[in-house]
Amino acid sequence: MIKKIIYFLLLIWVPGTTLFAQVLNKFTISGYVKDQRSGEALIGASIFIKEIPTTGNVSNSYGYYSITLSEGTYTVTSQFVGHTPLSKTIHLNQNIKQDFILEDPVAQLSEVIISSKKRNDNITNVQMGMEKLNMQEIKNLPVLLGERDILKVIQLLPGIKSAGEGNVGFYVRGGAADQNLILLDEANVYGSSHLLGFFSVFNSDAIKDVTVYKGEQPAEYGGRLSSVLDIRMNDGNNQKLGVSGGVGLIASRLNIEGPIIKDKSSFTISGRRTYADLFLKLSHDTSINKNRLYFYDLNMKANYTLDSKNRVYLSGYFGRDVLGFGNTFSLDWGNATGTIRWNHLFTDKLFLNTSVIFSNYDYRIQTGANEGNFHITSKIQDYNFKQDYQFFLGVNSKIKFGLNSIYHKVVPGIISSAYLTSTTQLLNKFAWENAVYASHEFKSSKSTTINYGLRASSFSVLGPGSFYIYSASGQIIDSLKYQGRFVKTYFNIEPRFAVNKLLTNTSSIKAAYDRNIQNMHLLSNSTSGNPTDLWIPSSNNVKPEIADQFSLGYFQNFRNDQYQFSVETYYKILQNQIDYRDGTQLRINQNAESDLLYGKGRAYGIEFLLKKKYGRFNGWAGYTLSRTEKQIDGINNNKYYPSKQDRTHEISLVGIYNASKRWTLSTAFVYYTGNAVTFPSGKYEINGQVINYYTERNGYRMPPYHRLDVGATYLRKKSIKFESSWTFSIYNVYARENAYTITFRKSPTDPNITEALQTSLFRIVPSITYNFKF
Amino acid sequence: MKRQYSFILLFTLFFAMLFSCKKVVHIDLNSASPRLVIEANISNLTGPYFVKISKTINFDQSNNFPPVTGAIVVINDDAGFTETLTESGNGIYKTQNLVSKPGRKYTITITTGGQTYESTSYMPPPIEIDKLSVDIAFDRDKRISVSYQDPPNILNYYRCIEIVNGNELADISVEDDKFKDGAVIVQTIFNEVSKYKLKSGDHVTVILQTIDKGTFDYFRTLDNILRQDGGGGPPPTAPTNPLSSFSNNALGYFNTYSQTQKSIIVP
Repeated sequence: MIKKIIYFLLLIWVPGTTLFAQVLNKFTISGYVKDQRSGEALIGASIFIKEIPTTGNVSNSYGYYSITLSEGTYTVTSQFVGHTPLSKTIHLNQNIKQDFILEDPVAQLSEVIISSKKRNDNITNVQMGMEKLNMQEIKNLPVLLGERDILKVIQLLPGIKSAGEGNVGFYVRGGAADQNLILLDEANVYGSSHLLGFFSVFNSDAIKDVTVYKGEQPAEYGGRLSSVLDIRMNDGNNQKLGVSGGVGLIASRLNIEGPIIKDKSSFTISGRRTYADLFLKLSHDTSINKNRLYFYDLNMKANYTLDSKNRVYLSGYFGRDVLGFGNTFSLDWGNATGTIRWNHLFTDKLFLNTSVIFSNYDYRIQTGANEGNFHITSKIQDYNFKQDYQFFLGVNSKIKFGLNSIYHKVVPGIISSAYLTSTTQLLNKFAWENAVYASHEFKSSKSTTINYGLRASSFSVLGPGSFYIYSASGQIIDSLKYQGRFVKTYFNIEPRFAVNKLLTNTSSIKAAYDRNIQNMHLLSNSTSGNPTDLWIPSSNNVKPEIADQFSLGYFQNFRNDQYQFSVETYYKILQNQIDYRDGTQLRINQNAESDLLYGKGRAYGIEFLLKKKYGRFNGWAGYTLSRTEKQIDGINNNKYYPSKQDRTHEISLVGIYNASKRWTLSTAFVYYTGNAVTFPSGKYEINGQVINYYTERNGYRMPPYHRLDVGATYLRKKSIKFESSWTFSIYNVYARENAYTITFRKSPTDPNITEALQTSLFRIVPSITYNFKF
Repeated sequence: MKRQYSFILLFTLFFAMLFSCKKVVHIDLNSASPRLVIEANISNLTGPYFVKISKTINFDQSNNFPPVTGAIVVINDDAGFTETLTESGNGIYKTQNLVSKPGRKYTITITTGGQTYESTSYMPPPIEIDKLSVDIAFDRDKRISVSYQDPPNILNYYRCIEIVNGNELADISVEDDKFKDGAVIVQTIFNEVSKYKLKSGDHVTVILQTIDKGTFDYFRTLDNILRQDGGGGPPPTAPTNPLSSFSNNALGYFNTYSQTQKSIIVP
């Protein structure tokens, strides 16, 4: 019955022409695209039909595709990066199931030769500002301390900037670090970094696919202003048991995967742990060997194919940082996420994924032994239900719709102590976020593809609890006690629109507009991100942040699609932006909201990207010119001022060269304008101490940042049974002393003057990593 | 809550130490028009009490801070006492008759250059220090912890001053009883600003001031910028001037406090 209703609704909604098309002699080819060796579903593999050159389809997040065509004989080809394209001749006179099992030629020690015709996806795809990362490329890039990190690789793309030296936090098109939706198997990851930002929580061994949307976000995503980083974990090899791993300077990794029932069910478990603390234990000094300092990640996933129409997935992630000094202090923090998914095919044209997701981030602090003993616990939890429908209408028409409901629980702080009779607790916050969406992508003419959609979202602040009302200066005017469930509900309509006009076979123009809403806000008073930064939901005081983005781009391929060139511009208008009052105290503060100021923002820029995707040498060159500003009453005389993430110029160059069968060389160079910072403009004396005097926020610039990294990977042995490789890399080859902080102090040599002191972190950091797989 | 923050800084330092380097650089800084700076203290000890008034200077100037002379400084309390302070030179003004008493509220009014600056502060009763102890932290540095009994059911604010072998350290250590009302508070004094490392045999005296909220906020936020300037930690977002207890945009504080003290020799 439900099926019928859905069909009915769809048929009404879809433009008339498509409706009539249903009754003609049309049949559907559908199936999965998989890797031959592991049986892993391939995400975003293209499927095209030789006889209809304008057709372009890609497999979805579960490797599924569906194309509906008139009766006839077709040559259907599927292609995926790093795999040999596969063509099948199909006589279409009934609905046909056709899986594509693609071979990974590297596995057979042959040269990577990809001779496909369909390489202009970037031209034909309507999506703007989207980048897919190839995990193979990531493996070859040079990285800090040899720990490959997807969050560091995406920072090399134009429009995406690093939050700081060695930091995995990132800014997209002028958005703050908390304005990125970071999803791991659909679960929101609130704390995406380890070790105070130097490493991400994503163990690249466990990752199959990474897609970043920095421009128009498709309607199925919502909740953050700037970008979506959609990370999918490996499903696990369903063909044979495999073990892989690596030994590096900082951490070691181990991954085990294999079939539970061959072709039907598989599992994968990946673990990673750092071992700096193991060296501490070797010390005989009790004040050192009692210290703890490590992090670990554990990714687990299993799937089971019930029948040709049903498949279930279970995935989980656990990671934690632990840091402690004897028994006087400990701080540990981490994420736990769990996702249960059910893929269901109503028909070969209607695909449904239902997900139930849990996400938890927490930190615990313990200070002092015995009488000084003191504990703080803080956490944020999401309970999430999601349904995503994909309806493959015709050759060039696809509808997506779905719903999403999230219950947020924020525990800002529970404080307990041996000498307190009761525990003290900051008020917990509860919120319920709901959204429904629908989008339709279709070809309106031979050369024009349109994607339009709408997301309607609501955010309800829930009781029970006390809600404070603050004056303009941040004093409590009134407090309201709510017993009922709903305190305040915000409704928002988020339109999404994109159009692609093909100019020639190798060039196109794309334009997009989208509105995004953000209801979870991160309060942080450090640029690098601390584990104890505070997430708060929208409330009676904090309004949902709103961003409207307009973007326009030109895309051109040349030399037989070997080179891709694009230029994209964007303009963003931001509302209800947040900044802090002077002297803000965010940590363990019941009234943290009273320290906030609200205003508007704007961000605009232009991004150039030249990419070589194929051949022995590949890589890219990107340049971004941009500006990001805020205007908040109460800061800088109510005038526009640069956001901390404002950087005028940014350049990134990346090159990967397959020198021989054994050696792969790589290099990366980055340059960017220094962040906007607050420096003192004067000084004065208090209690005989010289104190800096500040006059304006973000009125100065850090010095420009630049750095060159090089790397080399040596494939020691490669066969079906066993392979191993060594990766060497040098971070910051020419030892540029990039400013991490600039501080001001009384000169130690001449107490009469004050001087600026620059701290730099990493100059020339070599590393070596050994990887194996069998 | 500062304690954990300090540890995070230390931890970052620990990690950064492996690779980091520091050097003095030249930065072109703008000039700023001078602003009034006031330091005013009244304690439960016998007077006279002093008020110091100076001005800000540009960053590249040498550290001679111009005193403000000829100001009219008036202090009165909520028991009806009023006194105009006498100038004793170099921007310093002192009381002659004021007899302080914990529990009173004081108002200071300063008039200079046609502008008036005002602040009000309450003098809380003194709290005895129960004991001083020396903690050894992970980095093997010794630090002083101060224990005292917090009186229940009222908001209390504390400031500790550490004097080592007769020299007052620059470290600021303030505490409130927000989550420890009525408990024995153990306040550890960190030496990140002074960078002083305690040695065996050091003679340490700790002064425990009970202060009011305005003074607490001033020193809490002053500490924030002193720590940032001390360097080492993750870069702060936007340092700001400390929350002044004075009106009319003057920088500085008006601290009316009661104090007790205790001494220890570092073992």
